[in-house]
Amino acid sequence: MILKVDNLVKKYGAVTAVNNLSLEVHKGQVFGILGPNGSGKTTTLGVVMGVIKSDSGSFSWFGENQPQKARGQIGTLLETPNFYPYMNAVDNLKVVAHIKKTAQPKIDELLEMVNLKDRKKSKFTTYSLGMKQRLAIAAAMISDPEVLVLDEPTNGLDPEGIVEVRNLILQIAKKGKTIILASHMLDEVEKICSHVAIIKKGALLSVGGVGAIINKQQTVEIGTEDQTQLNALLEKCTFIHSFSPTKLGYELVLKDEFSAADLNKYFFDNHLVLTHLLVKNRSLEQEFLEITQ
Amino acid sequence: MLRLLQLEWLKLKPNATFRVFVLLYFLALPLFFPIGLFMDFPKEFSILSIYSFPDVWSFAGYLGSWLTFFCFGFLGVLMITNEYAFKTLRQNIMTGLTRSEFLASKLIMFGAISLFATIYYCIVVLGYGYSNTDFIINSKVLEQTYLIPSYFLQCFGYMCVGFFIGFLVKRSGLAVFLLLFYTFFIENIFRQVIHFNIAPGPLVNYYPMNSLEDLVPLPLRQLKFAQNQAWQRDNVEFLLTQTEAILVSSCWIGIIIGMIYLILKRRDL
Repeated sequence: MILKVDNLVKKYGAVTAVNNLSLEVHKGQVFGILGPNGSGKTTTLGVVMGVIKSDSGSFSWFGENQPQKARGQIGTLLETPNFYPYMNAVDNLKVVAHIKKTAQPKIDELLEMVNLKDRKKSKFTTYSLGMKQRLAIAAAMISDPEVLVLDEPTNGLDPEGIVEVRNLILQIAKKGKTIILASHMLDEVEKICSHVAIIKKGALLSVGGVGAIINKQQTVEIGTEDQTQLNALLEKCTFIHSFSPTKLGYELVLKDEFSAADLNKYFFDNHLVLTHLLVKNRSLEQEFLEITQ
Repeated sequence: MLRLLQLEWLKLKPNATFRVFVLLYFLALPLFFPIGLFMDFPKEFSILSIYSFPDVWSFAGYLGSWLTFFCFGFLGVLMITNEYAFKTLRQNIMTGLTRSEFLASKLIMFGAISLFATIYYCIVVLGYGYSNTDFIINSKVLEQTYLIPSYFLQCFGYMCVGFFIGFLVKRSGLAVFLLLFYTFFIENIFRQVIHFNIAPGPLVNYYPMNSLEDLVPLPLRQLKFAQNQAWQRDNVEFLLTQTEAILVSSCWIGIIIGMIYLILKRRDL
């Protein structure tokens, strides 16, 4: 057992930020906490990291009741990367290593991993957001912790930065580390996490393996000039879960593990050319509606 | 303890503001010292005597107390408002520092800075004293060395007060303004106007900044002109005695640190 949260409650005045939340994170999991902005993700992580005081409920790290000792063994990136702006990357990491009591921090190695070696002597204040975020990940890794707590690690990054950070997280996860990741982006959780808890207004909606919780079916919109042949092929197709008509043609929900490419190939093999093929990203909003129903 | 001092040193060493304040103190103390030559002193107070033993201790101490207030009192403010502005207090705690350790690291650094400020004060005093005293008599040299621990306590106290105000309001500009406003207006008005008129008595001098100031006062005790007419009439001393000043300011420092500790323990960061 890495983390156990029991009936956690945190109120800000009349607003209940975390409402009776219980969670369990086990070793080796990449545990996603998914929820829209303001759903209590950061507050929950703030409580278990000792910076926010809960009103009731409890939590324990590593099955022990020693949160202060535990924090030394966890790498954390909560909300924004927090460093001393007048200090360079190396000096900032030295401060982190000093607090963590890491005797010989592998600062150069870490900076290489996050691709900041060339800028290691530049002041933190001169860094771009992506560089700051990467430095924060290096800082979280400095004591080679068993557990990483990451809150919106790709927030505010450009697409390239997002991919870099996600690959970094996957790379770390492969080493068998436990990662707790809060995100409001469904596809991020889907791509990275093994387990997910979905929270809304501070309350837990559902929890379990990613495959079991998040619907992996893809939604595709298609259109063609030959409506009758399309209808016939749709009836025969084996990997369509359901379909409904739209202005341009049909909206199809594919069965698990099938993609738009399979669909396109199927029609092409059957001598039907599509004039319109659109893969629809399911919004978190829709996903929530499905889960809550 | 050494670990916490090292941690604070890692944070302070590259800080430009810290360097400027330290440089200012180290330059200003010996360079502003000759100011006395241009000051309009009463006849009883020989200009020569303030540069020679034993009065050089009190005069340099008085000058130094202004510098410690402005250099290190402000530094006390910045050492906490920076941590709030950069969100590094929050990050330090998440990284694994306990709240008590965080406070301790600051207090230990205040102690170290005050110690260096005091040692430097002694060096300046001895330098000026030995070069300006015609007849060195050891008893005269040592007569006012009781000011040395007071000087240390005063610097430490100023840093704690600055830290406390910075801790309460979290923003450096506002905190510095409040520190100045409280020191030069609020406390004086409350103490000398309101409190004095309602209940004149020794308690009038027991306010935090006043007790800290009286640790190293301008040596006016013997000077009649310093005595406010009204205060004399009501038989209220203008200054605290050394013992009183040490006891009262130690109490205030204890109360301030205690309050910071209690708030820090409970506060969401």
